[in-house]
Amino acid sequence: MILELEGVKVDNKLLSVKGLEVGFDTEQGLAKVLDKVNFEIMPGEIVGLVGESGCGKTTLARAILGVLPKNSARISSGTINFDNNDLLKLSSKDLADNIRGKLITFIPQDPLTSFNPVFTIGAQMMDLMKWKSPDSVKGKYFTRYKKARQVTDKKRIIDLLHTVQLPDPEGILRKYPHEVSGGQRQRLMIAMALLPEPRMIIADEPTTALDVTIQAQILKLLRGVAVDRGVSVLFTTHDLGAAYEICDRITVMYAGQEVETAISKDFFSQPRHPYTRKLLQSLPNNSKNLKGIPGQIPALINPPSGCRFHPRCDEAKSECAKLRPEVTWPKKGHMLRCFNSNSVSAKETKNVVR
Amino acid sequence: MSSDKINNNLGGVEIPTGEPILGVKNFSKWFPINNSWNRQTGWLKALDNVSLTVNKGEIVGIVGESGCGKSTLGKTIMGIHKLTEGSVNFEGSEIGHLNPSESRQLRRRLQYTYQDPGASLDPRWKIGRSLHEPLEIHTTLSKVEREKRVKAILTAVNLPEAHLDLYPHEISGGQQRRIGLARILTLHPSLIVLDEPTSGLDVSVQATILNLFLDLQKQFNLTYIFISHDLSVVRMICDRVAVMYLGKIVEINETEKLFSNPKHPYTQSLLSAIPVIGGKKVTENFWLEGEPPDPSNLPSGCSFRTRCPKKTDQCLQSPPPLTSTSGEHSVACYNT
Repeated sequence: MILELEGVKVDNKLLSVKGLEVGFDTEQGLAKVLDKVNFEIMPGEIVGLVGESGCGKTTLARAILGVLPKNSARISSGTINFDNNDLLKLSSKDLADNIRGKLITFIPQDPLTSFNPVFTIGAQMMDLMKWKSPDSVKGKYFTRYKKARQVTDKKRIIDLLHTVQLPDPEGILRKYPHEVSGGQRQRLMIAMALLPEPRMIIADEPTTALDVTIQAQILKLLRGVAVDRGVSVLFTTHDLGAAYEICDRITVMYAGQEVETAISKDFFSQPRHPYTRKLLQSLPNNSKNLKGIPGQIPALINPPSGCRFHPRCDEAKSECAKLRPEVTWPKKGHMLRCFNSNSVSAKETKNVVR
Repeated sequence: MSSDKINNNLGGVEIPTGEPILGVKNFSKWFPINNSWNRQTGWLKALDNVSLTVNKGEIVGIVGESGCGKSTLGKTIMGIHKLTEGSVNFEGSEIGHLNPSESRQLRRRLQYTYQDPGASLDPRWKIGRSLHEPLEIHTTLSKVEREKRVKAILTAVNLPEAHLDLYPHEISGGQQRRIGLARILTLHPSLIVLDEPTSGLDVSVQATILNLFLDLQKQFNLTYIFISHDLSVVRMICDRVAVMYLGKIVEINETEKLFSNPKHPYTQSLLSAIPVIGGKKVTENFWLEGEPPDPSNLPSGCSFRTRCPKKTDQCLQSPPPLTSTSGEHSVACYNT
């Protein structure tokens, strides 16, 4: 993976989110969930989006897909550029026909609720193929699903079910969602995300509900298929271990602000942002003195000014409360938004990870 | 410690630290499987011949994949499920087959925390009322005394008194766990079964909750049975760990020895599946294939043999017994 982010001379970004500001109308006022977020994905790259619950991971993913709730979400500024299209400027019909489910697909956290319980898995996969198969005719709603296309699409489904290592694909297509195990359902979801041959997959905590052994299998599979096909993956997770396993690059978010982005190797060996370091320290390890992060994520109706982490930060200075730190590049491909970037020597940070 | 004396003969004995507080012997819990006409067609062996001893002051971890019987073990010890066979000895008395009123007395000393504390708190009750409830049921304290006890316990779990007037949905997941724990601690139990106490929490919150468990254990002289599927948490907090697979304990040992030298092939695969930051990537060298078989239709012999790389003909014939090798270590495998 070649990353030349510092000079911003990269033309082939697959996705670039710039200054995205999203709020939600609530009874108490506008909750500022995303605060001028910048985010990029290169073609074929697996990027982890890491943060605690309520930090805006899912909101960002949904903003990219264009499925934010229309009655409450307010996008006040920013652009989402995907493959040289500004997704925010596209009509909802365009987005639904050509982008969502075709160029960008989605793997949900809970595969059971994403399947319809009253139809067989096969029927649901064929339904997907009717609209989103690479062969499907664009923009026509009342076309028949021709037999010849059904046959090729069926073959494509069976092939892909073999790829995701499901036993007896023909049999599984006749089953109902509740008849297969959680791990198999997640494999089916990965297969369904790959069927339209997308450029990018958004995987929203795909392994959180799974056991470790199944998680290891699913992560291995996801990485394998993504690398084989050159598909980019946006992998949101709160599990840093899972992010370590499959991500090329990791972005950390805190309360709607991205605070640090680094190549996976640097991220774990030289974390620079105080929040990142605290997050890594709160992972269970062999020593019996575990440090959590005192305090809790701020309410986003009235978030702290400047850097939103400053009330919980040990190294906060007076300027942290005034201004949000600008983007700095302490190292090639390592983005940081913190005023104290220089105070942290590499030696200090090495000891953070056990 | 408490002003009210325990007025029953069940579980009233204080066990000195290090002595067995709970003994489970040949423990089985089978659920009947019925067909559409409600006729029984088979058994689901959720727990099959499990034996386990827990000593006072110890934290015993129970790990395994979902569906392996971890929660069933906890719930059957508690008497929430009626056990099919076997015996449970708690603080010197047999508690396996008690009637409901007897087991209510017992539950003061033996407590269970549910997986989802948000769902186990009544959404229409303020936190204060939820905390008063166990005292109303189990003690004869006056309202003033109860209030004093509730406030003391709230301080012990590091929550402000103002929380008494909030509803469960107004507090965060980590705080709900603290309340769940506080509810149990008001009765001064001696053994607590913690069922997945950190699942669904962020790492930073999880760390503070785990520290709280350790603090409270010292403060109230508690014994924990810690049911979890998160092995890194178990490694951090437990003294001994039992690994379960499809209703059976396959290996049990002191935590450090189990993690550094696992003997059973299943334990080995489970440990190699944990992502270790900075270590070798699990995704590159994970070897365990497939998923656990259907528990209602178990394979003959050793139930792990369908996924085991070391299986021999002997594994097909009869399930390997849990045999003690050295000290605290026991393993159920023919080929260690």
